[in-house]
Amino acid sequence: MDNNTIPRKKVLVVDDEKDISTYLSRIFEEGGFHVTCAADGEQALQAAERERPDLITMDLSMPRLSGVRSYQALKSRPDLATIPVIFVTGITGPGGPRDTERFYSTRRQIPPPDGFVSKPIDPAKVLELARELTSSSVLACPSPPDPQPLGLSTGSVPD
Amino acid sequence: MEAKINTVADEQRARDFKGPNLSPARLFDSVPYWITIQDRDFRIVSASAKLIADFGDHLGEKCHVAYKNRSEPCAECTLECTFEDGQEHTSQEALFDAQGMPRHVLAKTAPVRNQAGEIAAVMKVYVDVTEVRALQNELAGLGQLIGEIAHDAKNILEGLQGGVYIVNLGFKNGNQEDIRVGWGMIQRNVTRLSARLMDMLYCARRRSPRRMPVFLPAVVREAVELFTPRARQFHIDLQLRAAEQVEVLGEPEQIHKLVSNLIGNAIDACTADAEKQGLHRIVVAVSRDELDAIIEVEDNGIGMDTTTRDVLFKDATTTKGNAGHGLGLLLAQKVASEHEGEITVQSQPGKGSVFTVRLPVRHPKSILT
Repeated sequence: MDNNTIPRKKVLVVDDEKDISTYLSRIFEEGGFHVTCAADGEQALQAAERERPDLITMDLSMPRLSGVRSYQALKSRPDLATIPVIFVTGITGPGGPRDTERFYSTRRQIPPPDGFVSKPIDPAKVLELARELTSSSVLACPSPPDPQPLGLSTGSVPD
Repeated sequence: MEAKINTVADEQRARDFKGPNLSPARLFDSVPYWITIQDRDFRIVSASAKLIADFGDHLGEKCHVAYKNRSEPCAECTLECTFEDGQEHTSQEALFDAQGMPRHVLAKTAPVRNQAGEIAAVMKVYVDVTEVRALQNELAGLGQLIGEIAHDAKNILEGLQGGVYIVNLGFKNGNQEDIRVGWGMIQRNVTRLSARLMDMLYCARRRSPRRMPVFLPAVVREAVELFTPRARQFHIDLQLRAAEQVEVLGEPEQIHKLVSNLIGNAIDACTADAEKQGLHRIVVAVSRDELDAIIEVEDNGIGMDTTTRDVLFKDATTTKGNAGHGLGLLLAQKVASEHEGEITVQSQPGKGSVFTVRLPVRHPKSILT
């Protein structure tokens, strides 16, 4: 298979702030990803089922707990739980990033995410992290063959 | 410490004392606090002149009915405690005065014993801490406000940075679409930032409101329109009746916030009322009489007694889109008084409430240039 037929990695951007969504989308597009957006938890689940993205970013600015609930919902679905998730957080805790990590790690029902991106968003860092997380999923399982409707179930899940 | 009451000696002392007539009764009525003397049935046997003046004459009534619109005694009634153990008991309470406005008090009960030493009645002294409570609420509200503004500012900054990034992409790739989208983000967030700064300046501003002509029907209509989507969401029929030309002198933003606060409270009162779901109605009416402009906000929600008052006095009912800066009812009172007006309320638990705001109407002679 030559490079031209390798499908682009898919990212699902979950954020209810339209401008942040647009910002992240353009970053990922410039980085060669295919981007889908969702504005709330429900849309996120539907989009995740439909698109089977290679990566999900979720905005979890501390006051907004609905982001956490969507994340829990995602992680409770065995077919979606393996998709790597990056939290995009506006650090409001006094300790900075350590505080956030501690916050999430003390909540036992919430498995920690695969990565953190703190605001203000640094496009280069975001892409670096995204590539890291999506390339490891390639090593774990082969990327799906060129999407041709040859009776292959599009619901086949990378293991 | 037991006080021995010897009325003969008292009277002797009163006769001997050269000076103005200071009978106990007169002393009682001169005390600058609200005092009730109550019997075991909660009935008011006697009240200080100040209490009667501010709360009305409720002699013979039960205190929880007279001052709180409650049919049942309060949980942990300090009166009951003192009757039982003969000790003083302190409490923090909220009472409704003769105008129906809430007054926060610190109260203390003490036994009043007869000559046989038995507790014949209990005295309850109330100290008005409404102002202090208002300041506490204001501080808490400001704290919350600052938090909201900071959170907003972060998002605005993100939006600006995103816009810059995308415009730069546009320049780099010669992509007009990116330039258009990015520039739109920048413009939008500059506007948001500007609005936030105005909000902050407004909150930082102290007394002496500007005196400009305010056309009430328009200001009230804006407030109603702001809450229409929310009312619809909860199946509340929100109506405006403002036929007349009514003008006052003051600050349109403050009056807007006052009315918004009352409407927000009315919506809360309706959503807290499980019984009449789907049948709720809020009517906002603007009218005038000889002296005053009148704004009425009437709802058929849960009505007010002590329990629901907590819903109303909860500060900063944050509504997304309304810049999230609600004022508590106590602060709404402040706005009204800064405009030389007042707010009164009539309420029946289970039936609903009417808040009436009176503001002096603008007279042509009072134009200040």
